Amino acid sequence: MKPFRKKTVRRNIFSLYRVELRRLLLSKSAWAVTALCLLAPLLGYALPYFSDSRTMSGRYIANPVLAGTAAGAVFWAVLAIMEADRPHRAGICVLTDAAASPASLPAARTLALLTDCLLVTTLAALVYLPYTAGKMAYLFAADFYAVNFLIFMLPTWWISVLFAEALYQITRRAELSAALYLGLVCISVAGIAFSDYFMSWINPRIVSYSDGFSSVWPLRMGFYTRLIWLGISAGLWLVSTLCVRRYQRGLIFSFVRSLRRGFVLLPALALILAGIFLWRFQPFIDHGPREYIVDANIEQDEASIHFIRSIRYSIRTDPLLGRISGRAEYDIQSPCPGESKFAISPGYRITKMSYGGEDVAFRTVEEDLNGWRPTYFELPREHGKTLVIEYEGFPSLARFASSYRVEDCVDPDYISLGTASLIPVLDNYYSRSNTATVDITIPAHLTPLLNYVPMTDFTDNADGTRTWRAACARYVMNFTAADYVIDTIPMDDFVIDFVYGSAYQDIVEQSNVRQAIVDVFTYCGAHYGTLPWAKDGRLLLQQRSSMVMGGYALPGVSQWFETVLAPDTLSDPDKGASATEVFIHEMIHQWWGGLGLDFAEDERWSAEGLTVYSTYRLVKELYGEAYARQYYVDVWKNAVEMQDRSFYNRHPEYTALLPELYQTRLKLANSGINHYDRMPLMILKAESLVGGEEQMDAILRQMYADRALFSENRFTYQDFLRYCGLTEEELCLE
Amino acid sequence: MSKIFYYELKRMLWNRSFWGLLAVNGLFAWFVLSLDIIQGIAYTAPFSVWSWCTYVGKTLPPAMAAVLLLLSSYYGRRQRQVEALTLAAPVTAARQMLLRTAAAGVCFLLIFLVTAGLAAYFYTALFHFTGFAAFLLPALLLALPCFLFLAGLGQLLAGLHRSLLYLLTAVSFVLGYCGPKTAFDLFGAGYFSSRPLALPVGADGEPAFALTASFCAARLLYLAAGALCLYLTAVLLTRKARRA
Repeated sequence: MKPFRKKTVRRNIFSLYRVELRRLLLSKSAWAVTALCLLAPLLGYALPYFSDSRTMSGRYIANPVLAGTAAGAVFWAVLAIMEADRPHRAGICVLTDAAASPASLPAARTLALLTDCLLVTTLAALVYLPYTAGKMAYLFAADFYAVNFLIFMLPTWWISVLFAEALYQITRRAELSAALYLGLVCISVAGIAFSDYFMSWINPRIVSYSDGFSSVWPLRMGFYTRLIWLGISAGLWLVSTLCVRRYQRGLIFSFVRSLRRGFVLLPALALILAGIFLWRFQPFIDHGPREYIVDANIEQDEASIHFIRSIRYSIRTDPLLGRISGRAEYDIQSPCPGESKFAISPGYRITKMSYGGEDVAFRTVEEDLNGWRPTYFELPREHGKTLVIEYEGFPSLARFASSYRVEDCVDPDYISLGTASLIPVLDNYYSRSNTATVDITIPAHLTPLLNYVPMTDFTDNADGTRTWRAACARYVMNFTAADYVIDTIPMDDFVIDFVYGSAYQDIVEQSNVRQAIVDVFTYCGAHYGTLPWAKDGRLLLQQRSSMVMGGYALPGVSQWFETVLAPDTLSDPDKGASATEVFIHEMIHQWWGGLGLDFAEDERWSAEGLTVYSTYRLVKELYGEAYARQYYVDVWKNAVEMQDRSFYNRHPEYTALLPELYQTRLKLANSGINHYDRMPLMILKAESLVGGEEQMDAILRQMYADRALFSENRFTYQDFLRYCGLTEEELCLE
Repeated sequence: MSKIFYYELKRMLWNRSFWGLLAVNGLFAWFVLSLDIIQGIAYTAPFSVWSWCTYVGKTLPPAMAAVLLLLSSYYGRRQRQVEALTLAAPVTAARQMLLRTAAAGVCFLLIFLVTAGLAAYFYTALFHFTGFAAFLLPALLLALPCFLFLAGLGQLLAGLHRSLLYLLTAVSFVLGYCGPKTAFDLFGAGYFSSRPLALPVGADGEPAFALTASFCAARLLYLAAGALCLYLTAVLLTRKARRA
């Protein structure tokens, strides 16, 4: 009889599922939820708080998808509770219980709801596709767009439905299950969840997205979090099936009665435990402090330094799994007496340590600090042997930085690794030659840069990978590999290696960016002074993935924001009349801004004013005075005139009556006009007051030359007035 | 006749859709006030007549969409099934249509009063502004022609085919936010948000409010066109009733 019974139940669930799905597809409530779910992503355009990413992918994919995910999850939960409560509300539960097994009906209903979630997710992806593709233009990738819906929206809706169904089946009261569900939502959205990324079950977060480079890492982390909660919610749902009321008795009787079907409890507990296990042993973020801690022991005692003759690093990446494996060999001249230590990414496991072929005992201590984890070891007092450290793992993020940047990742199309994610960093050892040999195996289509220098020497492994080799400093500071294009631009006294993502190749050509670079460097070099960054006659001008945050400068290296070449930046009329001019504006920030003369910033003053003015001067030189007046001076004047006409600027007393949000908005709008329009006009006025363009250029040159003076106390408006020999009153616009 | 009017009014007001549409209109109006009007239209004060007219112009499209949707129920299949009965009433089909229009007008007025009430609360609570007298004439000039024109045209089109009424609803909605910013702007939001930019500012920094002759003429034209549409609808209905 047993096999016959099983078959009947299975057939019963399947036929019930079809009935439930059909009923759901014809239900007005389900259609209302569908409509609300389709509208929910609009919230993401209006309220850009769902993702921290400010790239186009962040604004046009992450924000709408996450807004739709969170709001939609609530709508689905409401529908699930309503649907579960419907037979009781309508007083037909006696009939439904007689027609179908009490356990199979909720299962069929849940399956139908999950299927409906899948259909609505597909619909939502299709509805927003044309707008997103149109906005992101050449940076739109259909697969990346679709994956966001599948990784964030669909599983979260499933989790929400499972929780709502489970809570209803346990309590069997709509209002109580709604209240408990609300409690679960509160846990996810409350402040406590911000301390633990993995706690946000209904409002998944995306740390950062890149537009032109691969952003697989945030997707991996998002998928992992969804897996955790799918496990927990599915487990709870299975437990709840044991709570389905039997023989019109209460919760405890029904649960005890259902426990006879113990086979449900085991997978339920297994799923919940799997979720908890995944949470506890997540490989993405280390267990270090939330704030960056300055390591007091970073200074090395000169007397304790021991020398290494040579170093060899051999690293192999596995982009599919996001892991690396490495081997570091140190030819040690004289070993350090007593216990030594090295630090490496907390995501890595030391697989082997040997000295002169003999295994060395070591202990890794979970004392994560700033993304580094120490391993202690003691070498025998034998000179001239080789220390070998083998390691492998998934590069994890330092907890203090995990909420705003993805520094280390190994993705199929993008690899970025810092020191501790590449090599073990030995304490108390120093290389005599100060060089190391690095072999690194990566996918063949990626272009690597080691310590900000393009690598040139490689061996093709004929398996879709290449092993690149280079000699570099003992400390490997940075390794980046991406689908880069490297253009070499010869200048008069140095060469620029212009490195950017291949996704931007068309716009670089259309906007004549190479010529713009030559123009900017020629003009600014002649008028304000050369960039000090060029080293050994070369300057690397590298586009940096927005996953690792903004740009910075080092000797020989100048890194700029990825968003400089994004369609919305290049069409920003505040920064220039064309994409080329906007790029010129962004490049001039190499002189005026964090990479050059560092400006203090307030509502009126920032680096933008001088950058806009310099762009105007360069454009005037390139395209003539009439063009510059029409597209710059007249635009500034018009914006300032409109700002002065604005009601709140005429009657600031009314500003105080506004809610704080609007006061902030007004402030931001005013800051924008002050920085991009009013200040350039004031600098233009200063130009005429100091005696013309040449005199102004001399002042600006002096300001740039003195930039070291403003590295701590940044350059203020008062400093500018002092350099010009003018007063605030003189620069006031009529 | 008043009995039929009250019946039609009751039928509309007792409809759940009306209250849903009223709530949506109220919600939308609040969004317009708190996201848009609060900033002041065309650099004028949020409580200037320019801003008020823009607010009315922006809230009229959903209000008119609600009215057209309410009227659409008179042209459905169910209504046609009971047409023989309604035609047997001692009131002509044309008058019945006018009574329905009047009932829809009351609904429109209710929606308008809600949006105006929200604005009054908004202005009083946030800016302590209470000088609403100057708002009355422009509001009347915006709302009345708009209602008469769309209700008339809508019923004329619905008499030809019901789906044309839905098409008109969609078209008028789009025109409300993307229409011409000239004096012929049916809802007026575009006109009143762009006109102050072309005017010189006074001593108080605000452009003086004045209605141009072309705008008034356009409103009169819309009124006349609306009346004409209603007349044509009445003629069509009378003919249809005679044929029946």
